[in-house]
Amino acid sequence: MPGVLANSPAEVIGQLLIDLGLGEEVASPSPDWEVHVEGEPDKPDNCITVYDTVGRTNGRDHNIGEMAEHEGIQIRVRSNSPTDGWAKAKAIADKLDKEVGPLTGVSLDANDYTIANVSRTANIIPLRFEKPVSKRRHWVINAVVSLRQS
Amino acid sequence: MPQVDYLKTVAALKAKLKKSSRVVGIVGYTQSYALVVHENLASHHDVGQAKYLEEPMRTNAKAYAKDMIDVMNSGGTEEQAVMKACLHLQRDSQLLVPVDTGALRASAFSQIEMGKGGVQPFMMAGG
Repeated sequence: MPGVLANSPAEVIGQLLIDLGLGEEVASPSPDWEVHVEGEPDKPDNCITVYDTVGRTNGRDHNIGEMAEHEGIQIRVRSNSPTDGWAKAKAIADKLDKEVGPLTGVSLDANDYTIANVSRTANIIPLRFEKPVSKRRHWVINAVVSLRQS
Repeated sequence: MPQVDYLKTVAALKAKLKKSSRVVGIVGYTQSYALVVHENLASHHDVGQAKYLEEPMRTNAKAYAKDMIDVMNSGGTEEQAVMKACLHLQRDSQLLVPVDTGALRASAFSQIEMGKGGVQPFMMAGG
């Protein structure tokens, strides 16, 4: 894994969060918990943004030459409510741990993906307030993903 | 960050490590905002980037392992082997860490402890 990917891992995981009911598509009627990829908007206050990060390589298959790669992602939850933000981050973490893999399917832009696993690399990290006078806070979830395009 | 807080945090980390004959290396930054800067991928930096520990740790893991192997093969101790890898990671990290006043980069440290073995990146969760 992963071979050729038409979409970035962050895009695939973003769609996964929507499919799991953890977030909404951009410009949906319900503005809360819109899922964005690689660009956090200023509004709405409550939103989820997924970023690509450096992954891990775990050797190479000598028969077919494919690298065993686990792609890195970061899921960033922003909220102006400490309670809501923490609850959303915890809900995301729990669903990733318990409900994703070994053959979770995601469809995005006419491409199909199979997610074998999403492994969190640490606990949920709460970050400080966004600005000195802002009540918005962030929580981040770092993980490595094993996925393949079908 | 006050020195006493740093020492308490490292002491707590040490307490979690199981005593064994293996050596663990710790590389980290003591500035209270180190964690926030490391995790904030939305922030732009004129110099440096976020994930300044995680990225070199993942991309150069083989090089750090080779450091340890080379030291052991030349007759060095486990402590020397792990420390060399730590210093290598620290140097790679300091090349990536965002720089404004230089305080964050200057707060990098490497140390070794008895524990599970290997090299571990360490972030101060202050703020």
